[in-house]
Amino acid sequence: MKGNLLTFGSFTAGITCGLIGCAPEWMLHAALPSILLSALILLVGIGIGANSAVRQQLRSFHPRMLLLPLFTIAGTLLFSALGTLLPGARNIRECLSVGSGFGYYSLSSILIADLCQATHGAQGAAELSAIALLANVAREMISILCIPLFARCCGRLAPISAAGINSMDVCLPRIVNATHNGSELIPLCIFHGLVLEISVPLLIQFFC
Amino acid sequence: MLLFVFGASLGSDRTLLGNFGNYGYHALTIALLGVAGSLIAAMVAQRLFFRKGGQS
Repeated sequence: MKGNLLTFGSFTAGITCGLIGCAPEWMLHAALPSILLSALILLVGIGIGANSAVRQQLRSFHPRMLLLPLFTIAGTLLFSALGTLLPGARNIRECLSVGSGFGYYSLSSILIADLCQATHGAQGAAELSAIALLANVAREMISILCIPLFARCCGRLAPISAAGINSMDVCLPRIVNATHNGSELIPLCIFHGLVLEISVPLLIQFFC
Repeated sequence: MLLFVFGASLGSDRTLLGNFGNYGYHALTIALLGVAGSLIAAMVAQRLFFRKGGQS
């Protein structure tokens, strides 16, 4: 929760800074997000490679564990596509690229801002990335708050799937506590998060 | 840092900022749909492949 507040704080501070016009010119340079994005992706890779706990848990990998992230991807994308049927909705590719964040709001919004510029223009890409940020923050919040409810009503795998990427970090302790024999699910939660983390840039690139 | 820069570029664009409420509606609907889809997918996965226990 503290991390979320910090994220929102820096995002709000950035908006305020841009709004009152105190952002320096270099900060609004078009190439800056791409440079920072490359650094972020590098850090994500280093984080996965250097995390010994993740490496240890992955030793208990079973091929069947791959099915849950695949079902999460399919379910999320299928229902995100239904967003086109709502009044005033955006087109199917936009709905799918926003849905492809799986709760990873920082990476998905920046990727959309960068990758969708060619197809949507700078303004369109900025709009879509703002939607992606809000949608993925909302997904994380819904997941964190509703984990016990999801586990009770939809089964022990449901909170993992709903949490998306966050099944391997912020939502993990709550999933373990809310499910029967929750500690058994730790390798599945971590593997689920990792597969989705790898899929985010690939899917967003595909849908943009 | 990345989100601060992203926020600054959003904040400097008045048109974008004026539509923020509209974006909130789109964002919330896609978030709710994504969660609903993944819950249903998890129930299907559990029924088909994870019947005993959950993990394997």
